[in-house]
Amino acid sequence: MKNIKIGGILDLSTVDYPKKTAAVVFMQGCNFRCPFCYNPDLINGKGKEISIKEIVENIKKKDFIDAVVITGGEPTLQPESLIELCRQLKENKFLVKIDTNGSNPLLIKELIDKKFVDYIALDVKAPLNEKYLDVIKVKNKDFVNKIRDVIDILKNSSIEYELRTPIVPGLNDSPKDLEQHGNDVKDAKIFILEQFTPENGTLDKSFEKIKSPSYNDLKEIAKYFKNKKVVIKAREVGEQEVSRINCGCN
Amino acid sequence: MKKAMLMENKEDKLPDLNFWISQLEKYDRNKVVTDCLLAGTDEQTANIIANKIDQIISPQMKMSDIRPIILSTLHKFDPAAAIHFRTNETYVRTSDEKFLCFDNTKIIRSIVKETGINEQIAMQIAEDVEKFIKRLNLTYISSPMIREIVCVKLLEHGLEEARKRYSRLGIPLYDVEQMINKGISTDIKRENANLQHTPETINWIISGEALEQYSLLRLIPGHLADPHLSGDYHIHILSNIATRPNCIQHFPPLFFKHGLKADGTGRHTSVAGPPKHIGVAIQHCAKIMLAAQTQMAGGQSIESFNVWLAPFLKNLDVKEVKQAAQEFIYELNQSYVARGGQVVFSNINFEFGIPKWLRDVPAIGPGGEIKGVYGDYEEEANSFLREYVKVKIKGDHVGKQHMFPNDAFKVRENTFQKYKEELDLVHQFIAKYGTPYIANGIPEWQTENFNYMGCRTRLDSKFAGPWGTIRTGNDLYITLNLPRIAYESKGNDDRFFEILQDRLEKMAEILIIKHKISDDILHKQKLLPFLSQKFDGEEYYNLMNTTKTFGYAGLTEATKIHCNYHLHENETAQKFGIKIITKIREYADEMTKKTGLRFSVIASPAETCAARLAKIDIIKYGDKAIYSGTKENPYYTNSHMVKMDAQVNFSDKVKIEEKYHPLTNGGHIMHVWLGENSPSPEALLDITKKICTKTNIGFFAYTRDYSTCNDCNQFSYGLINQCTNCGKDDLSRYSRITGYYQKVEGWNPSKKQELKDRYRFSSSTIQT
Repeated sequence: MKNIKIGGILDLSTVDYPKKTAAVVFMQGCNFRCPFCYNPDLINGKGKEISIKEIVENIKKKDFIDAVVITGGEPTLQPESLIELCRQLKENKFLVKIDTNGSNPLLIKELIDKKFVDYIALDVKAPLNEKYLDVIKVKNKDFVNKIRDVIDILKNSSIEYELRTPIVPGLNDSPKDLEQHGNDVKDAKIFILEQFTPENGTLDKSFEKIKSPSYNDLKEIAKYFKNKKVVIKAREVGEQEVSRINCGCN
Repeated sequence: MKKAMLMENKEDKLPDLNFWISQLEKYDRNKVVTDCLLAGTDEQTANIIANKIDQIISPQMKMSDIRPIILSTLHKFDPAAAIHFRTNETYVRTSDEKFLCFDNTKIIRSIVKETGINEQIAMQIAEDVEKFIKRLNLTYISSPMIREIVCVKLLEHGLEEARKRYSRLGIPLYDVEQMINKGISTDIKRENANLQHTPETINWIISGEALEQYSLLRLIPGHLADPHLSGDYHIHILSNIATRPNCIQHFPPLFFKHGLKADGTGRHTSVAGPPKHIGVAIQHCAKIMLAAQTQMAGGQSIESFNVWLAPFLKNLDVKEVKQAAQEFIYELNQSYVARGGQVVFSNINFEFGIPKWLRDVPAIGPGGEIKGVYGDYEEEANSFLREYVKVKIKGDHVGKQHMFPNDAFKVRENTFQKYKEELDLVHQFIAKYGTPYIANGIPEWQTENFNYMGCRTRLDSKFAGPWGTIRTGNDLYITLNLPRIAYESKGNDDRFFEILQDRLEKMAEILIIKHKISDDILHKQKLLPFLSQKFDGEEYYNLMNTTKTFGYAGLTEATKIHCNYHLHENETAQKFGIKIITKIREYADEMTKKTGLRFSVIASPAETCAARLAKIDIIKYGDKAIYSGTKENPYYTNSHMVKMDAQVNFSDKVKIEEKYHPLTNGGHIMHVWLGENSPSPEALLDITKKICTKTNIGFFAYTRDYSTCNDCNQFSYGLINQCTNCGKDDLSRYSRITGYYQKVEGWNPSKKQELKDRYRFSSSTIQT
């Protein structure tokens, strides 16, 4: 019987799986230390350990959902458990989405090949160069290559996916970085810009004083991203697809 | 001269009782000057007064008749001196600024007339009053003050009932000043957050206060009023019991056919004929609500709105349909003229397509003529719904939501199969602002027709068929304090239901009294001409179909006290909860059978009474008290809802609350508190579909909070403290209070606490 370390299960979400009602499983532990992380309690890996069966039973009791989103922390840090959880969820006809930081391309490939997952959201939080390590506060160049690998895997598979980043003023919003950032993610059909909102606490407390970028700031930043569909998630508008005409592309 | 005439009249009538007239004195101008100087005024003023008086009196008058005139003139020229004006008389300063000699026969007459006690006792009281006033050694006294003293003396004589009848109604000066200076936002008595700080609001509150006192003193007998005051139950909108019924579901086709008299008679306002064009028809609809609001305490609603309008939309361009919808929405959000400077509490029920019961009904179209049947207008009805929703999605000129009307969309058997486009739009609207309600007609217990208002009151076809759901509404509802019964029954089930029965009987008595009052003001006093106007010989407002409703608050606290568990904590608690509400419903049905009146049960909105009842119980039960919120801002959880801060799975919450919807035939609502910034319309529609087809929930609404900047108008989801655009902290925050959206700043403190406590689905809270 496999166990899994989780931080909690969110009952009902309409935002975490595109256009579907979903439960969200927060897995414990992360190998990044992003200072702006808004779920700092999920980093240390000290969560509640429960059996996969129990989680699946719990989720089956939720009458209003069609999908399950597995997020974290970083779900791929518990590879065997993740595979088993996805397998059982698929067995029960749920749509499955995984949110990942891209540090385990092999596992992502395996999940896709086995058809245990229907949708993947990959964080690409900065340009994929030495800047990335500044942002995630872990000095391991390997990670950058692995994220590139995941992007390739996604591009070459038929799975639905999105790349996304939070915009943190002063950290990943300089024109130079954005230029490169846009270039690194340009092949993805969907790119999502998220508004950094520190109100509920961040891993590095000094980030709580940083002001959220406004929707208008994000609209400007969106011009660096030439993906087919660029979406801004901000509290001024909810979820807003950026109009292509204003971007000066095509 | 008028004053002198008055005095003469008095003497004519009561020549034998003129003992207060002092010795005969001849008029002398110098005496006037002396009197004034003695009071302390200067010579010049004394002479001016003497000259004035010399001009107006007749030389035959006695000094005793002239003294009141000296006093009132002195009061005008030197108010400080007037206080020291020496005389043997006590003068009464009447409300019209005149001074009259104190006359105890006036007191006798008014006591007899107003209280009905016999003249003998009245004379005794008047003598006591006179003695008392003499002891005070005043120059003059005001008539309201005399009334207070009479009341004290009546009490001393043990005449409590007479004292009540002799009372003067009003409010303390201090309260008026507070209202003007600080606004009324912290007033616990306010029953609705819809009020802004304006002169009209102050009028509304002051008159409401007086009428509320009147209701408690005169309309509700002591044995029924005391339990309200002590918190056994809460009688809503007491200020309106004397003059207004609660709410109505309108039927515009009658006005389309016969034209519109906004005053009900056509004598005070212009009379409009049957509308020929949609632009006028839609104005009629808005004006019906505005006119009726002046005569009603609560909500104005139009049932099947898009169906009634459909015959006016034949062959119209989409643009014209949209224009009509827009006119209507702005009219209702900007006519800032209803009770106390509010907009009308307006509600709309929409149908997807034409419901079966209306398909073969002759349709009233342009010019008030019959144009086929409503079944011919399916596409027009849907077109109006779509354009209306698009206007609502757009928001107002600065991007804020249109707060009114509250829109309820009625889902029926085939809605999800047939009306995809309309449902998508409705859910885009929900995703953007959260405002609309879904009224679910799919569960077996719903009837052929049914309707709801934004505050949740409901009517169905059971009592008088589908047509009995319109031209009527709620007459009055009373909210039962369930935790109170749980405290009093000390864990004993039988005792619980005995007390419950006793409370319900009292509440029924009040509801019947109110029915009689409504009947009288409609038919005897003719106080409600808009509602009582007749069409084809039939009165517009059908009083006999109005609901008389038992409401309740704090079911979950009651089961916590009685069974030691909240509703969501344990099956026994939930079973006991269902048993309580079933009993209430059975009693309502029994009363309907007995009286022929439409008794029903409502899951009360309890905007104010949730806090009021909890506060009284905290005083009464001290540390043992079970309540929600904080000790400073406590509240009882509304109706049967699961505790606001209980971290209950959404499906579990639905499973608990759906049990109560079939029982509460007078109304109910389930709240879905959203916590996310960008809910997906598709996913919300999916939830709606599942709730409608898989549960017994009859009425529900999604709520998403939002803020707007008062400076730059930036709109933002969530309740935020600082504008993300300009950085200022002057924001208006909005959420759903009980049924409708309102600015959070206007909420009472306990409701603000509830807002903090709400467990929002999909928020960043992690549930383990």
